[in-house]
Amino acid sequence: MTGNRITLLLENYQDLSSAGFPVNIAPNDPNGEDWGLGYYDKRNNVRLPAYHRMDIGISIYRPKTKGRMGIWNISVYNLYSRMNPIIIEKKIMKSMDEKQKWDTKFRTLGILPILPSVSYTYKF
Amino acid sequence: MLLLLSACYKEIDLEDYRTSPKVVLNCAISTDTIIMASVSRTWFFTDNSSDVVISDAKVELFVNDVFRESMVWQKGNTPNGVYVSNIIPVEGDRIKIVATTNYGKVWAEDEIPVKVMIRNVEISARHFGSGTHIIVDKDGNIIEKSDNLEIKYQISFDDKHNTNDFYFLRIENCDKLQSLGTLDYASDPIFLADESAINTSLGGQTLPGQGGRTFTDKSINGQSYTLTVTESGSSYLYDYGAVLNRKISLYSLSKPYYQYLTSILKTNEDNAMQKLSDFGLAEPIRIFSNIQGGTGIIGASQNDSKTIDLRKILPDHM
Repeated sequence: MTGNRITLLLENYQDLSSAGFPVNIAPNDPNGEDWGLGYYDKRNNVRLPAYHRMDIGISIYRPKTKGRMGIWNISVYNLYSRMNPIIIEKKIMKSMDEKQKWDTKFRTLGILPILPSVSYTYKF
Repeated sequence: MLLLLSACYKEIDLEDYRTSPKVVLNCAISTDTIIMASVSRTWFFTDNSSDVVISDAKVELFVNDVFRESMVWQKGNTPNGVYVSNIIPVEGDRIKIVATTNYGKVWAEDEIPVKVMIRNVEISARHFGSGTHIIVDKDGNIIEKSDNLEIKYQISFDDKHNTNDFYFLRIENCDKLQSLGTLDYASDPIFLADESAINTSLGGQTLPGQGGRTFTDKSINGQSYTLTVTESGSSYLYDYGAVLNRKISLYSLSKPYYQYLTSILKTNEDNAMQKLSDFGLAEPIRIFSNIQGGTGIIGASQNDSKTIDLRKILPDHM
């Protein structure tokens, strides 16, 4: 149930160029953006939200002649279609208003929603 | 199948992970100017980054372990002010800065490295077709075809004996209204030495660095060496202007400054390692810091530069 731990750059700080140092003594021009450089104290500093899902399935056995067997399997992966987060992304957008401020937010990415499946196995 | 490919982004509140801000001390030291230092604080990613500068800190400057002065806050032309001193350091000086703020006390020191001069710069050029477009008239005669230009810079310098030296090479256009083509450092193995195996394993890749690139003397210690860097772009970029000056700067860096700049370059690159990190499959690259008790950098450097006019080898212009 418990989510995995990940390392996330939670804080930011000014680099040399955004702190106002001229390029002739601070030669690199990194992001050159207002959000600066990423910073984290220690590894595995964030725990992802709890991971949980329900999988169900049913197998229907259909005996055939001469000892052969047909098996229908109907199953559903992630029955309640919870989009379990696998990573946390940092989203940076510039607002469209006249102030053109940076809009920064954390967001999770979840994949694999409800996935029904049907299979048939024939044993001989 | 469509269900399988769907994904979902959702905003997440990470306020529980908010910690108290750390002090950021930034200082780029050079023998060309007085010593300046910037003191600020970290901010939580979702906060507004404005108002992080700390203007009421006590900033003390030590040169070769001797206290020299308290640095003075000066509101500069930039939105960020800096603390300034009256001291211009010289080669070999050990500079230590101690900053005391409401968020805590931080300090770091660094030594001014030996200056390495550029001995010579040679340039050559070649035209090559990119094949992106060919325009023909109704009779089938070619009236226009894509034409690219590659300029090769060969920059010679003498590395110092018996020391581990760290460098940064930067090529820039002197007239910012003119265009600088795409710089590629991949043709010189000295720039590839610091690349991780995963980034170089695919081959045929370029090594970008429009703002410059770091390297060390690990493989050329004590030798005279000629660096090779190429600049390429559509030939029309080079059509305008009676002069096409390029400034080539070779910075001698202290080790901490080299580590800092290299880590920043790695985070900015669009390479395999960075992509893995973006997808959460590798640890994020930690920006190097030599600040005790906080973060930032005190980095010392010296630089030598030469200006060269590309018109020497590209005589035609409009």
